[in-house]
Amino acid sequence: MSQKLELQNIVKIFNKGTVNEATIFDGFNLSVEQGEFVSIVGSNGSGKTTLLNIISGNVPIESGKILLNGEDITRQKEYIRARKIGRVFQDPSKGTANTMTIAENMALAENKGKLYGLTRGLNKKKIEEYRDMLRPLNLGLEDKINVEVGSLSGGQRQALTLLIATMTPIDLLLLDEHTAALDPKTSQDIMELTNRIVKEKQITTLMVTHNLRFAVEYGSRLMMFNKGTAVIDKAGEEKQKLVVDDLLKTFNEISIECGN
Amino acid sequence: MALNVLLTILQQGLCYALVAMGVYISYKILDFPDLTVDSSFPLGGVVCISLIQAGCPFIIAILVAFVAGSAAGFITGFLHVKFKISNLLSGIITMTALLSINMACSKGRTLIPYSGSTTLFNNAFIRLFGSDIHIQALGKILILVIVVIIFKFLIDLFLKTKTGFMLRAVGNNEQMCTSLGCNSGKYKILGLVIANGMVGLAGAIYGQYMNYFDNTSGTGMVVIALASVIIGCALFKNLRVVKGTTAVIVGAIIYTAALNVVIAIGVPTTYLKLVMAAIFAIILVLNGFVLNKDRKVKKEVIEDVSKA
Repeated sequence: MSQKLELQNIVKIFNKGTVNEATIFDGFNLSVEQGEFVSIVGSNGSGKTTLLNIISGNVPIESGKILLNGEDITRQKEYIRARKIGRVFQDPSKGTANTMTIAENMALAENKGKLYGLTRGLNKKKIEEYRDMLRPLNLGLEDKINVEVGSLSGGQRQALTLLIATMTPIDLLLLDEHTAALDPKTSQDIMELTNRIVKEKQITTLMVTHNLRFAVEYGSRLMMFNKGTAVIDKAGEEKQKLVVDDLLKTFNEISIECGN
Repeated sequence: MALNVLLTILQQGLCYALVAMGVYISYKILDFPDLTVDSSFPLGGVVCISLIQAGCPFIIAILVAFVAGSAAGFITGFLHVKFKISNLLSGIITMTALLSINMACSKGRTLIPYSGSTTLFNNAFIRLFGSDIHIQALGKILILVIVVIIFKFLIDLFLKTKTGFMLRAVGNNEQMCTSLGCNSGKYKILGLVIANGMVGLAGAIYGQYMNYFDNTSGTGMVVIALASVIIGCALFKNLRVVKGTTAVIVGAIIYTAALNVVIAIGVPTTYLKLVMAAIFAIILVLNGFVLNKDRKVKKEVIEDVSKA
């Protein structure tokens, strides 16, 4: 199988040259195959979110190379990379424009990668299409198509964000603790929805999560990060055998090492 | 007396409505408090009068004033986006620099009279209304209403395009714009270009309405525009059918009315700016109360929902 995403020798140092200098990654390597769904767990400061920021181009790196679909994107700006990468954040308000309606948000998202010119922003004929896309979410959003997104609940917004992020064909989906701000029930629903979308569209996905159960139950590969290295990296059958307790044990060992 | 005040309110208010529609784009849509306005307004005025006195038709002079204002907006946007200077400071830099430019354009004169040139308010159409000053004022109001409506519809149309959608998204959530593969900086600059273009155009039309160019006419324009935008948007907050542009036009007329009434009851014009600032402060305080009340209601609703 082809390598969808490759990180080679990534070095990332925060606050370089100051007393607060912190090396997060020192020669980090990662390759992700086409269609893999990688769950990433780890303690705070282990580099999970930084990894997503490096891939999306939000955080510059000291050295190393990032390849997406074989193309070197290391020097590409964040908004250029975003044309091939979808991203969902922990904060539900980051993925949508809250003073615009659901339909307007969807119309914007549908045009991703194309020119945003002076043609009509929302084509009325498309509204039925948008409704059909919203129906499988089972949140009743199809009846709120002309409602401003700001008045939706966190769970509804996160579901909409997921839909928007995967509306156009993308090479990679980055999920940054995207269920962390939701209540347990909603969190489970969004996780199920994520799984369905990722499987349906066979999108290569990296998911950072603090929920060890999600990491074990969903996805085809699991990584545990500590101090910028993957202390656990299991895929396929090995991954299937993992249980939450194993992870928790390693997690505790790491924490003791760190003096927590 | 009362009739005079009413006619003045409508004429000034409609001129300020043009500024307010520009500031609606920068402040309300882009969430960018743009201080360039205080100088891009007289810039439009001086560009317009210079061109008209050089024999240029007034319509072209007004359009060039739009372009001049746009250029000022571009500089503010460029400073903010490319050099990461904060939004307030970028505006202050351009605003201050333009004071010299405006003075240079007016060759050091504070006031330049139009002295009989053909303008938007001194032409064959206005003369149809006869020589009575009140009836002529009605003609001027008619022209202003037409101009305001034209630009209101143009802005409304623009905000419904894909570019307009993206502009709204940038002001709302910059990350969303980036996620959609667009350079948010470009949209910010574009927004400021259009906003200050409107301000420059308003400056040109205001000068023609006054029948002279005044180099100090921009002082306090930011306050006038922001007050108009805030009044308008607060008034029609719960009425989604009323477009933002309509709201700020109404806001501009209300604010102008408040100013003129205060002056009409005998407050000396020396204190005009003080009155302007005081009314603005009162509006912000009132608006804050309304917002807080809203927040309380929302909080209660959320608590109720979580209990249920």
